[in-house]
Order: sequence, then C-alpha cells, then structure tokens
Amino acid sequence: MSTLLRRPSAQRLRQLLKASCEVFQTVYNPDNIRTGNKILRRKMKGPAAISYYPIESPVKFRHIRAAYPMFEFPNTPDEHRIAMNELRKRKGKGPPKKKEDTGKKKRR
Amino acid sequence: MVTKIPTPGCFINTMIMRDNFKRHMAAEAEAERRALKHIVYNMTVPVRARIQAQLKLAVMPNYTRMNQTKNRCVVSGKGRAVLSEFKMSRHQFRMAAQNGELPGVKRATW
Repeated sequence: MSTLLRRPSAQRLRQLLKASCEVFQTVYNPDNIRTGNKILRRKMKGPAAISYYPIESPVKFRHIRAAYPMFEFPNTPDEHRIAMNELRKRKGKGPPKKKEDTGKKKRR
Repeated sequence: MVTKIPTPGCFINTMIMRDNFKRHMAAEAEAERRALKHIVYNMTVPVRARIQAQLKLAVMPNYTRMNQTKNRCVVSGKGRAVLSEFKMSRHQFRMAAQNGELPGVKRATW
C-alpha cells in the first residue's frame, strides 16, 4: 500500500509531462527557456499599415472624358483659372508685350 | 528588389508621401525583422548567432521599423490631433461632422 502512495520521481514526472505534450501537441519546455515564440505569435501589422491611405483610383477624370465624348463635363478649376485670367487682363495685369529686337540683342 | 510604391489616392503632401513610403518599406521588411528578432530572443540558439542577428537588426534602415509610421490626416495631411478612427485631424473631423458626412456622429449634448 505504501508503494502506491509514494510520490513519483522528478524524472518520471518529466517523462509524464513530455508524453502529455506529445499527446496534446503543446511545446515541451519544462525549464521555461525563452524561445522567442511570442514574437512569432504576434499579428502582422504590415497589411493594416499599408491600407491606411486609400489607393489611388486608376480611372481618372480624363479617362471618363475620353470615354464619353458626346457629353460635356464641367472643369470647375480650369474655368475659374480662365475667368481670373480675363479679370486680370481687364485690369491691365496681363502678360507684357514682347519686344521685336530681343533676338538681336541676345546674340551679342 | 524594391517594387513601385503606389501613390495614395487622398490629399498628397511631402509628409504623406514620406509616411506612405515608410509604411510600405516597413511592411516589406516586417517578416525579416520578425525572424531576426525571434533569433535574438531565442535562448536555444547559440550566442554567436543571436548577436549576429542583433547586429543585422541594428544595421537595417530606420524606415523598416513599424514604429516610424505616423497616422496622418487623410484630408489635410496634418500629423497632429488625428482621430485614428476617422483618419482625420480634429478640425477636418469637426467640419465633416457638422456637414453630416460622418454617419453616426452627432454633437454630444447632456
């Protein structure tokens, strides 16, 4: 009776642990040596980091305009630019007139 | 080796382009960095190999580190006071919320 109650040796306990690890497919590491597995276990951050900024659309305004020549698309920034140019011209702030003899002077 | 980095389709700024570059480079090098770090942390690997891995990690350029990236405002390119949930700086967020462009966002009153 006393032999049954005796505590098994440390070696036997380790063997038991090893067998248990094999059965349940866990890592056998009785001395708790650092294996660095926690670094491999972490989730990869790359895909999330890349997708922070939206991807540039391959279809551009000029493509749409070329695909539908029968429609007229408003180009607001360009219209604004032309309107402002005309306004400046009326104020006398347009481009200066070019001199006729500039070519001769440059030649020396 | 380096593939062409796609341009972001939002507001573009030098800082945004820089951050975009860092994000792509960090994502590319992430697996390598992680493998090296695993070797460094692994006590079962010989010490010489661990130190070599450590040196290799240290020599890698800064833009391969994930913590070099910074969340920037997608609308204005600002780097400060960016609400990560909306990817917007506080001012852009406020304007968008007031215009009702953000579903579910409303002014708190109590």
